Amino acid sequence: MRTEGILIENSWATLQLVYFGFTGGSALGIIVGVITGRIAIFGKLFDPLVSVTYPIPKIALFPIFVIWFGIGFLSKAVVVFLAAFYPVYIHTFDGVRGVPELHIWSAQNFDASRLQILTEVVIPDSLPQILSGLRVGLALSFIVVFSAELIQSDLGLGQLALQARQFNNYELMFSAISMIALFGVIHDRLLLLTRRRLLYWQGDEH
Amino acid sequence: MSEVARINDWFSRLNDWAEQTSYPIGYVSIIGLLVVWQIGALLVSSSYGPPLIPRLEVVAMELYTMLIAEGTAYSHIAATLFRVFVGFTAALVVGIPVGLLMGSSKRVEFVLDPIISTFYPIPRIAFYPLLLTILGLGHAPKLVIIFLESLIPILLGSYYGVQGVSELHIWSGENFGASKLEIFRDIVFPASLPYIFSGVRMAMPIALIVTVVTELVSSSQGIGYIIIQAQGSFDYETVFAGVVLISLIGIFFDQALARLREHLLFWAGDVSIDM
Repeated sequence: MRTEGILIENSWATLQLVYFGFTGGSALGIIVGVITGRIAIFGKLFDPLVSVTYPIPKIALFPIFVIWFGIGFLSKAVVVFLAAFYPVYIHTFDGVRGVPELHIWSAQNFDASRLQILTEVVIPDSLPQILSGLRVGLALSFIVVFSAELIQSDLGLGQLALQARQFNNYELMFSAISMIALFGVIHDRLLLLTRRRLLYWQGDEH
Repeated sequence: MSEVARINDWFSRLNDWAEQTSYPIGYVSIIGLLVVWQIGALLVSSSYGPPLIPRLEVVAMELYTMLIAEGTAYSHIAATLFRVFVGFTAALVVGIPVGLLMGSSKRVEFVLDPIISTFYPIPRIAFYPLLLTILGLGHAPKLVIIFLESLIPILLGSYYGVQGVSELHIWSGENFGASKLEIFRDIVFPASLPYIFSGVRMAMPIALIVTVVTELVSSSQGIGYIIIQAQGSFDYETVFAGVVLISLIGIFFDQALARLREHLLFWAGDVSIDM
Protein backbone atom coordinates (compact mmCIF):
# COMPACT_ATOMS: atom_id res chain seq x y z
CA MET A 1 0.00 0.00 0.00
CA ARG A 2 2.76 2.42 0.78
CA THR A 3 4.60 2.09 -2.46
CA GLU A 4 6.09 5.30 -3.70
CA GLY A 5 4.13 7.10 -6.35
CA ILE A 6 0.86 5.26 -5.77
CA LEU A 7 -1.03 8.55 -5.64
CA ILE A 8 0.43 9.78 -8.90
CA GLU A 9 -0.32 6.56 -10.70
CA ASN A 10 -3.94 6.51 -9.57
CA SER A 11 -4.47 10.23 -10.12
CA TRP A 12 -3.21 9.89 -13.65
CA ALA A 13 -5.63 7.02 -14.30
CA THR A 14 -8.52 9.14 -13.02
CA LEU A 15 -7.52 12.25 -14.96
CA GLN A 16 -7.06 10.27 -18.16
CA LEU A 17 -10.62 9.03 -17.84
CA VAL A 18 -11.99 12.50 -17.24
CA TYR A 19 -10.07 13.97 -20.17
CA PHE A 20 -10.96 11.20 -22.55
CA GLY A 21 -14.61 10.85 -21.60
CA PHE A 22 -15.31 14.54 -21.19
CA THR A 23 -13.58 15.61 -24.41
CA GLY A 24 -15.29 12.91 -26.44
CA GLY A 25 -18.70 13.31 -24.87
CA SER A 26 -18.77 17.08 -25.06
CA ALA A 27 -17.42 17.15 -28.64
CA LEU A 28 -20.17 14.78 -29.73
CA GLY A 29 -22.69 16.76 -27.69
CA ILE A 30 -21.77 20.01 -29.42
CA ILE A 31 -21.75 18.48 -32.92
CA VAL A 32 -25.04 16.63 -32.51
CA GLY A 33 -26.60 19.60 -30.73
CA VAL A 34 -25.71 21.96 -33.58
CA ILE A 35 -27.00 19.53 -36.20
CA THR A 36 -30.29 18.79 -34.46
CA GLY A 37 -30.74 22.43 -33.53
CA ARG A 38 -30.24 23.65 -37.08
CA ILE A 39 -31.96 20.96 -39.13
CA ALA A 40 -35.58 20.55 -38.12
CA ILE A 41 -36.04 16.94 -39.10
CA PHE A 42 -33.13 15.70 -36.99
CA GLY A 43 -34.36 17.79 -34.10
CA LYS A 44 -37.81 16.25 -34.32
CA LEU A 45 -36.37 12.77 -34.63
CA PHE A 46 -33.75 12.80 -31.91
CA ASP A 47 -34.87 15.25 -29.28
CA PRO A 48 -37.57 12.94 -27.85
CA LEU A 49 -35.02 10.14 -27.58
CA VAL A 50 -32.65 12.39 -25.68
CA SER A 51 -35.30 13.75 -23.35
CA VAL A 52 -36.46 10.23 -22.55
CA THR A 53 -32.97 8.89 -21.89
CA TYR A 54 -31.74 12.03 -20.12
CA PRO A 55 -33.21 11.27 -16.66
CA ILE A 56 -31.78 7.74 -16.69
CA PRO A 57 -28.95 7.62 -14.17
CA LYS A 58 -26.07 6.81 -16.51
CA ILE A 59 -24.02 5.26 -13.75
CA ALA A 60 -26.63 2.47 -13.54
CA LEU A 61 -25.40 1.38 -16.97
CA PHE A 62 -21.89 0.93 -15.62
CA PRO A 63 -22.38 -2.71 -14.51
CA ILE A 64 -23.49 -3.50 -18.07
CA PHE A 65 -20.38 -1.89 -19.51
CA VAL A 66 -18.28 -3.85 -17.06
CA ILE A 67 -19.89 -7.02 -18.42
CA TRP A 68 -19.06 -5.98 -21.97
CA PHE A 69 -15.65 -4.34 -21.62
CA GLY A 70 -14.18 -5.58 -18.35
CA ILE A 71 -13.09 -3.49 -15.39
CA GLY A 72 -10.36 -1.62 -17.24
CA PHE A 73 -10.27 1.75 -18.91
CA LEU A 74 -12.97 1.31 -21.54
CA SER A 75 -16.00 0.58 -19.37
CA LYS A 76 -15.44 3.70 -17.28
CA ALA A 77 -14.61 5.84 -20.31
CA VAL A 78 -17.94 4.95 -21.92
CA VAL A 79 -19.92 5.94 -18.80
CA VAL A 80 -18.07 9.26 -18.49
CA PHE A 81 -18.60 9.83 -22.19
CA LEU A 82 -22.37 9.36 -21.82
CA ALA A 83 -22.53 11.44 -18.65
CA ALA A 84 -20.73 14.36 -20.32
CA PHE A 85 -22.71 14.10 -23.54
CA TYR A 86 -26.19 14.84 -22.19
CA PRO A 87 -25.78 18.23 -20.46
CA VAL A 88 -23.56 19.54 -23.27
CA TYR A 89 -26.02 18.36 -25.91
CA ILE A 90 -29.05 19.85 -24.16
CA HIS A 91 -27.43 23.23 -23.60
CA THR A 92 -26.09 23.36 -27.16
CA PHE A 93 -29.47 22.42 -28.59
CA ASP A 94 -31.20 25.14 -26.55
CA GLY A 95 -28.53 27.65 -27.49
CA VAL A 96 -28.72 26.92 -31.21
CA ARG A 97 -32.51 26.99 -31.10
CA GLY A 98 -32.32 30.35 -29.35
CA VAL A 99 -30.27 32.08 -32.06
CA PRO A 100 -32.46 34.95 -33.34
CA GLU A 101 -33.69 34.34 -36.88
CA LEU A 102 -32.89 37.99 -37.59
CA HIS A 103 -29.16 37.37 -37.24
CA ILE A 104 -29.34 34.46 -39.66
CA TRP A 105 -31.41 36.41 -42.16
CA SER A 106 -28.99 39.32 -42.13
CA ALA A 107 -26.08 36.96 -42.72
CA GLN A 108 -28.00 35.38 -45.59
CA ASN A 109 -28.60 38.84 -46.99
CA PHE A 110 -24.86 39.41 -47.04
CA ASP A 111 -24.51 36.24 -49.11
CA ALA A 112 -22.95 34.17 -46.35
CA SER A 113 -22.60 30.51 -47.18
CA ARG A 114 -24.11 27.85 -44.91
CA LEU A 115 -20.73 27.18 -43.37
CA GLN A 116 -20.12 30.86 -42.72
CA ILE A 117 -23.50 31.23 -41.08
CA LEU A 118 -22.62 28.30 -38.87
CA THR A 119 -19.16 29.47 -37.83
CA GLU A 120 -19.81 33.19 -37.63
CA VAL A 121 -23.41 33.50 -36.48
CA VAL A 122 -24.78 30.34 -34.92
CA ILE A 123 -21.80 29.17 -32.92
CA PRO A 124 -20.80 32.55 -31.44
CA ASP A 125 -24.41 33.25 -30.59
CA SER A 126 -24.87 30.00 -28.73
CA LEU A 127 -21.40 29.98 -27.14
CA PRO A 128 -22.55 31.14 -23.67
CA GLN A 129 -25.02 28.26 -23.53
CA ILE A 130 -22.49 25.75 -24.81
CA LEU A 131 -19.99 26.82 -22.17
CA SER A 132 -22.45 26.45 -19.31
CA GLY A 133 -23.27 23.01 -20.67
CA LEU A 134 -19.57 22.20 -20.61
CA ARG A 135 -19.35 23.30 -16.98
CA VAL A 136 -22.21 21.04 -15.91
CA GLY A 137 -20.73 18.21 -17.99
CA LEU A 138 -17.30 18.58 -16.39
CA ALA A 139 -18.74 18.49 -12.88
CA LEU A 140 -20.76 15.40 -13.78
CA SER A 141 -17.72 13.72 -15.33
CA PHE A 142 -15.80 14.00 -12.09
CA ILE A 143 -18.74 12.63 -10.10
CA VAL A 144 -19.18 9.72 -12.47
CA VAL A 145 -15.49 8.85 -12.70
CA PHE A 146 -15.14 8.74 -8.96
CA SER A 147 -18.37 6.75 -8.57
CA ALA A 148 -17.36 4.23 -11.21
CA GLU A 149 -14.01 3.78 -9.50
CA LEU A 150 -15.77 3.22 -6.19
CA ILE A 151 -17.97 0.54 -7.73
CA GLN A 152 -15.57 -1.61 -9.72
CA SER A 153 -12.15 -0.64 -10.89
CA ASP A 154 -8.57 -1.76 -11.12
CA LEU A 155 -7.01 1.69 -10.79
CA GLY A 156 -7.96 5.23 -9.87
CA LEU A 157 -8.46 7.53 -6.91
CA GLY A 158 -11.90 6.18 -5.99
CA GLN A 159 -10.63 2.64 -5.85
CA LEU A 160 -7.61 3.86 -3.87
CA ALA A 161 -9.81 5.63 -1.32
CA LEU A 162 -12.01 2.60 -0.83
CA GLN A 163 -9.06 0.25 -0.55
CA ALA A 164 -7.31 2.53 1.92
CA ARG A 165 -10.46 2.55 4.03
CA GLN A 166 -10.50 -1.22 4.13
CA PHE A 167 -6.88 -1.25 5.32
CA ASN A 168 -7.64 1.45 7.93
CA ASN A 169 -5.06 3.62 6.19
CA TYR A 170 -6.86 6.90 6.76
CA GLU A 171 -3.95 9.13 5.70
CA LEU A 172 -4.05 7.57 2.26
CA MET A 173 -7.85 7.75 2.09
CA PHE A 174 -7.81 11.44 2.97
CA SER A 175 -5.12 12.17 0.42
CA ALA A 176 -7.08 10.41 -2.33
CA ILE A 177 -10.21 12.38 -1.41
CA SER A 178 -8.26 15.65 -1.30
CA MET A 179 -6.76 14.91 -4.69
CA ILE A 180 -10.15 14.43 -6.32
CA ALA A 181 -11.50 17.57 -4.62
CA LEU A 182 -8.47 19.53 -5.78
CA PHE A 183 -8.80 18.28 -9.36
CA GLY A 184 -12.48 19.20 -9.38
CA VAL A 185 -11.77 22.75 -8.23
CA ILE A 186 -8.79 23.28 -10.56
CA HIS A 187 -10.60 22.09 -13.67
CA ASP A 188 -13.71 24.10 -12.87
CA ARG A 189 -11.60 27.26 -12.42
CA LEU A 190 -9.78 26.57 -15.70
CA LEU A 191 -13.10 26.29 -17.50
CA LEU A 192 -14.32 29.54 -15.92
CA LEU A 193 -11.10 31.25 -17.00
CA THR A 194 -11.60 30.00 -20.55
CA ARG A 195 -15.16 31.20 -20.48
CA ARG A 196 -14.08 34.67 -19.40
CA ARG A 197 -11.54 34.73 -22.23
CA LEU A 198 -14.00 33.54 -24.87
CA LEU A 199 -16.93 35.66 -23.76
CA TYR A 200 -15.08 38.93 -23.12
CA TRP A 201 -17.58 40.58 -25.50
CA GLN A 202 -20.48 39.63 -23.31
CA GLY A 203 -19.51 42.11 -20.63
CA ASP A 204 -19.46 41.56 -16.88
CA GLU A 205 -22.84 40.47 -15.70
CA HIS A 206 -21.76 38.93 -12.48
CA MET B 1 -25.22 18.16 -60.53
CA SER B 2 -28.91 17.81 -61.17
CA GLU B 3 -28.89 14.70 -59.03
CA VAL B 4 -27.40 16.64 -56.10
CA ALA B 5 -29.88 19.46 -56.63
CA ARG B 6 -32.74 16.99 -56.66
CA ILE B 7 -31.62 15.42 -53.42
CA ASN B 8 -31.16 18.84 -51.85
CA ASP B 9 -34.61 19.85 -52.95
CA TRP B 10 -36.13 16.64 -51.65
CA PHE B 11 -34.35 17.02 -48.35
CA SER B 12 -35.45 20.60 -47.81
CA ARG B 13 -39.03 19.63 -48.57
CA LEU B 14 -38.76 16.80 -46.07
CA ASN B 15 -37.34 19.27 -43.59
CA ASP B 16 -40.24 21.66 -44.07
CA TRP B 17 -42.66 18.81 -43.64
CA ALA B 18 -40.94 17.76 -40.41
CA GLU B 19 -41.16 21.29 -39.07
CA GLN B 20 -44.88 21.50 -39.62
CA THR B 21 -46.07 17.99 -38.96
CA SER B 22 -47.83 17.09 -35.76
CA TYR B 23 -47.16 13.36 -36.16
CA PRO B 24 -45.13 12.10 -33.21
CA ILE B 25 -42.14 11.18 -35.37
CA GLY B 26 -39.92 11.39 -32.28
CA TYR B 27 -41.09 7.92 -31.32
CA VAL B 28 -39.24 6.62 -34.37
CA SER B 29 -35.88 7.14 -32.67
CA ILE B 30 -37.07 5.57 -29.41
CA ILE B 31 -38.35 2.51 -31.25
CA GLY B 32 -35.10 2.57 -33.23
CA LEU B 33 -33.13 2.23 -30.00
CA LEU B 34 -35.14 -0.85 -29.01
CA VAL B 35 -34.67 -2.32 -32.49
CA VAL B 36 -30.91 -1.77 -32.27
CA TRP B 37 -30.91 -3.49 -28.89
CA GLN B 38 -32.79 -6.50 -30.27
CA ILE B 39 -30.60 -6.75 -33.37
CA GLY B 40 -27.52 -6.49 -31.17
CA ALA B 41 -28.87 -9.27 -28.98
CA LEU B 42 -29.46 -11.50 -31.98
CA LEU B 43 -26.05 -10.80 -33.55
CA VAL B 44 -23.77 -10.86 -30.52
CA SER B 45 -23.52 -14.27 -29.03
CA SER B 46 -20.81 -15.24 -26.62
CA SER B 47 -19.13 -18.55 -27.23
CA TYR B 48 -19.57 -19.57 -23.59
CA GLY B 49 -21.50 -18.34 -20.59
CA PRO B 50 -24.66 -16.22 -20.60
CA PRO B 51 -25.45 -13.94 -23.55
CA LEU B 52 -23.76 -10.53 -23.32
CA ILE B 53 -26.85 -8.74 -24.57
CA PRO B 54 -30.05 -10.43 -23.42
CA ARG B 55 -32.94 -10.29 -25.86
CA LEU B 56 -35.76 -7.82 -25.26
CA GLU B 57 -38.40 -10.41 -24.51
CA VAL B 58 -36.14 -12.17 -22.01
CA VAL B 59 -35.63 -8.92 -20.11
CA ALA B 60 -39.36 -8.21 -20.28
CA MET B 61 -40.07 -11.67 -18.84
CA GLU B 62 -37.56 -11.03 -16.07
CA LEU B 63 -39.27 -7.73 -15.26
CA TYR B 64 -42.63 -9.51 -15.26
CA THR B 65 -41.30 -12.08 -12.79
CA MET B 66 -39.80 -9.40 -10.56
CA LEU B 67 -42.84 -7.16 -10.54
CA ILE B 68 -45.90 -9.34 -10.97
CA ALA B 69 -45.30 -13.07 -10.87
CA GLU B 70 -43.10 -13.14 -7.76
CA GLY B 71 -43.01 -9.51 -6.70
CA THR B 72 -39.47 -9.77 -5.38
CA ALA B 73 -38.51 -6.30 -6.54
CA TYR B 74 -40.89 -4.26 -4.40
CA SER B 75 -38.84 -4.25 -1.21
CA HIS B 76 -35.81 -3.09 -3.23
CA ILE B 77 -37.79 -0.40 -5.03
CA ALA B 78 -39.14 0.77 -1.69
CA ALA B 79 -35.62 0.93 -0.24
CA THR B 80 -34.36 3.01 -3.16
CA LEU B 81 -37.36 5.35 -3.12
CA PHE B 82 -37.10 5.76 0.64
CA ARG B 83 -33.49 6.91 0.34
CA VAL B 84 -34.22 9.30 -2.50
CA PHE B 85 -37.19 10.79 -0.69
CA VAL B 86 -35.49 11.27 2.67
CA GLY B 87 -32.28 12.72 1.25
CA PHE B 88 -34.09 14.88 -1.24
CA THR B 89 -36.69 16.18 1.21
CA ALA B 90 -33.95 17.10 3.66
CA ALA B 91 -32.19 19.00 0.85
CA LEU B 92 -35.44 20.83 0.04
CA VAL B 93 -36.12 21.70 3.67
CA VAL B 94 -32.62 23.05 4.22
CA GLY B 95 -31.77 24.34 0.75
CA ILE B 96 -34.77 26.53 -0.03
CA PRO B 97 -34.85 28.57 3.22
CA VAL B 98 -31.07 28.99 3.31
CA GLY B 99 -30.99 30.02 -0.35
CA LEU B 100 -33.80 32.51 0.15
CA LEU B 101 -32.06 33.87 3.22
CA MET B 102 -28.80 34.20 1.29
CA GLY B 103 -30.55 36.19 -1.38
CA SER B 104 -32.36 38.46 1.06
CA SER B 105 -29.70 39.19 3.63
CA LYS B 106 -26.30 40.63 2.78
CA ARG B 107 -24.81 39.31 6.00
CA VAL B 108 -25.81 35.71 5.38
CA GLU B 109 -24.64 36.00 1.80
CA PHE B 110 -21.25 37.31 2.92
CA VAL B 111 -20.73 34.32 5.20
CA LEU B 112 -22.14 31.52 3.05
CA ASP B 113 -21.29 32.49 -0.50
CA PRO B 114 -17.55 31.66 -0.30
CA ILE B 115 -18.33 28.30 1.30
CA ILE B 116 -20.89 27.37 -1.35
CA SER B 117 -18.77 28.46 -4.29
CA THR B 118 -15.82 26.46 -2.95
CA PHE B 119 -17.89 23.35 -2.44
CA TYR B 120 -19.73 23.65 -5.75
CA PRO B 121 -16.99 22.28 -8.05
CA ILE B 122 -15.89 19.53 -5.62
CA PRO B 123 -17.45 16.17 -6.50
CA ARG B 124 -19.18 15.64 -3.16
CA ILE B 125 -19.41 11.91 -3.79
CA ALA B 126 -15.68 11.87 -3.00
CA PHE B 127 -16.60 12.13 0.67
CA TYR B 128 -18.53 8.89 0.54
CA PRO B 129 -15.70 6.61 1.71
CA LEU B 130 -15.15 9.03 4.58
CA LEU B 131 -18.84 8.95 5.50
CA LEU B 132 -18.78 5.16 5.35
CA THR B 133 -16.01 5.20 7.91
CA ILE B 134 -17.75 7.65 10.22
CA LEU B 135 -21.36 6.52 9.93
CA GLY B 136 -21.07 2.82 9.22
CA LEU B 137 -22.76 0.81 6.51
CA GLY B 138 -26.46 1.46 7.16
CA HIS B 139 -28.81 4.09 5.81
CA ALA B 140 -27.05 7.06 7.39
CA PRO B 141 -24.05 7.61 5.05
CA LYS B 142 -26.26 7.14 1.98
CA LEU B 143 -28.82 9.65 3.16
CA VAL B 144 -26.12 12.18 4.04
CA ILE B 145 -24.41 11.97 0.66
CA ILE B 146 -27.75 12.19 -1.21
CA PHE B 147 -28.58 15.24 0.89
CA LEU B 148 -25.20 16.87 0.22
CA GLU B 149 -25.30 16.29 -3.53
CA SER B 150 -28.83 17.56 -4.08
CA LEU B 151 -28.52 20.45 -1.63
CA ILE B 152 -26.35 22.76 -3.72
CA PRO B 153 -28.47 23.02 -6.91
CA ILE B 154 -31.60 23.67 -4.82
CA LEU B 155 -29.80 26.22 -2.66
CA LEU B 156 -28.29 28.04 -5.63
CA GLY B 157 -31.63 28.03 -7.44
CA SER B 158 -33.37 29.78 -4.53
CA TYR B 159 -30.44 32.17 -4.11
CA TYR B 160 -30.41 33.22 -7.77
CA GLY B 161 -34.20 33.43 -7.72
CA VAL B 162 -34.21 36.06 -5.00
CA GLN B 163 -31.41 37.96 -6.70
CA GLY B 164 -33.38 38.01 -9.94
CA VAL B 165 -36.48 39.66 -8.43
CA SER B 166 -36.98 42.99 -10.13
CA GLU B 167 -36.37 46.00 -7.84
CA LEU B 168 -39.35 47.68 -9.42
CA HIS B 169 -41.75 45.11 -8.01
CA ILE B 170 -40.34 45.51 -4.52
CA TRP B 171 -40.56 49.30 -4.74
CA SER B 172 -44.18 49.18 -5.82
CA GLY B 173 -44.91 46.85 -2.93
CA GLU B 174 -43.25 49.28 -0.53
CA ASN B 175 -45.23 52.12 -2.03
CA PHE B 176 -48.44 50.33 -1.19
CA GLY B 177 -47.26 50.09 2.38
CA ALA B 178 -46.50 46.39 2.40
CA SER B 179 -44.56 45.16 5.40
CA LYS B 180 -41.30 43.26 4.96
CA LEU B 181 -43.06 39.97 5.56
CA GLU B 182 -45.75 40.79 3.01
CA ILE B 183 -43.17 41.79 0.42
CA PHE B 184 -41.39 38.50 0.96
CA ARG B 185 -44.54 36.42 0.92
CA ASP B 186 -46.35 38.08 -1.97
CA ILE B 187 -43.51 39.33 -4.18
CA VAL B 188 -40.08 37.83 -3.56
CA PHE B 189 -41.14 34.24 -2.97
CA PRO B 190 -43.51 33.86 -5.96
CA ALA B 191 -41.03 35.61 -8.23
CA SER B 192 -38.24 33.26 -7.27
CA LEU B 193 -40.37 30.11 -7.54
CA PRO B 194 -39.41 29.37 -11.18
CA TYR B 195 -35.72 29.46 -10.23
CA ILE B 196 -36.28 27.30 -7.18
CA PHE B 197 -38.06 24.84 -9.41
CA SER B 198 -35.20 24.80 -11.91
CA GLY B 199 -32.85 23.99 -9.06
CA VAL B 200 -35.13 21.20 -7.89
CA ARG B 201 -35.36 19.80 -11.37
CA MET B 202 -31.59 19.83 -11.66
CA ALA B 203 -31.17 18.13 -8.29
CA MET B 204 -33.62 15.29 -8.85
CA PRO B 205 -31.54 13.24 -11.34
CA ILE B 206 -28.44 13.90 -9.23
CA ALA B 207 -30.21 12.49 -6.17
CA LEU B 208 -31.14 9.39 -8.14
CA ILE B 209 -27.60 8.96 -9.51
CA VAL B 210 -26.09 9.21 -6.05
CA THR B 211 -28.62 6.79 -4.61
CA VAL B 212 -27.76 4.21 -7.25
CA VAL B 213 -24.04 4.75 -6.72
CA THR B 214 -24.28 4.22 -2.99
CA GLU B 215 -26.31 1.07 -3.54
CA LEU B 216 -23.84 -0.22 -6.10
CA VAL B 217 -20.89 0.39 -3.77
CA SER B 218 -22.20 -1.13 -0.58
CA SER B 219 -25.71 -2.14 0.25
CA SER B 220 -27.95 -5.06 1.03
CA GLN B 221 -31.11 -3.58 -0.47
CA GLY B 222 -32.20 -1.38 -3.32
CA ILE B 223 -32.23 -1.51 -7.09
CA GLY B 224 -28.50 -0.82 -7.26
CA TYR B 225 -28.01 -3.88 -5.09
CA ILE B 226 -30.13 -6.03 -7.45
CA ILE B 227 -27.96 -4.91 -10.36
CA ILE B 228 -24.56 -5.46 -8.77
CA GLN B 229 -25.63 -8.74 -7.17
CA ALA B 230 -26.91 -10.11 -10.47
CA GLN B 231 -23.76 -8.93 -12.24
CA GLY B 232 -21.64 -10.86 -9.75
CA SER B 233 -23.59 -14.05 -10.37
CA PHE B 234 -23.56 -13.72 -14.18
CA ASP B 235 -27.33 -13.23 -14.24
CA TYR B 236 -27.26 -10.64 -17.01
CA GLU B 237 -31.02 -10.59 -17.67
CA THR B 238 -31.55 -9.35 -14.14
CA VAL B 239 -28.83 -6.72 -14.59
CA PHE B 240 -30.67 -5.37 -17.62
CA ALA B 241 -34.04 -5.61 -15.89
CA GLY B 242 -32.68 -3.64 -12.93
CA VAL B 243 -31.28 -0.97 -15.24
CA VAL B 244 -34.64 -0.71 -17.02
CA LEU B 245 -36.36 -0.42 -13.65
CA ILE B 246 -34.17 2.42 -12.43
CA SER B 247 -34.50 4.13 -15.83
CA LEU B 248 -38.28 3.99 -15.57
CA ILE B 249 -38.13 5.52 -12.11
CA GLY B 250 -35.89 8.32 -13.40
CA ILE B 251 -38.21 9.03 -16.33
CA PHE B 252 -41.23 8.94 -14.04
CA PHE B 253 -39.74 11.49 -11.64
CA ASP B 254 -38.71 13.76 -14.48
CA GLN B 255 -42.18 13.64 -16.03
CA ALA B 256 -43.84 14.17 -12.66
CA LEU B 257 -41.76 17.28 -12.04
CA ALA B 258 -42.51 18.58 -15.53
CA ARG B 259 -46.25 18.09 -14.98
CA LEU B 260 -46.05 19.73 -11.59
CA ARG B 261 -44.31 22.69 -13.14
CA GLU B 262 -46.98 23.04 -15.82
CA HIS B 263 -49.59 22.96 -13.10
CA LEU B 264 -48.00 25.35 -10.63
CA LEU B 265 -45.91 27.64 -12.76
CA PHE B 266 -47.92 27.94 -15.96
CA TRP B 267 -47.51 31.72 -15.69
CA ALA B 268 -43.71 31.67 -15.79
CA GLY B 269 -41.46 31.16 -18.78
CA ASP B 270 -38.73 28.57 -18.72
CA VAL B 271 -35.76 29.81 -16.73
CA SER B 272 -32.43 28.12 -16.77
CA ILE B 273 -30.01 28.82 -13.97
CA ASP B 274 -26.50 29.32 -15.12
CA MET B 275 -24.21 27.59 -12.69
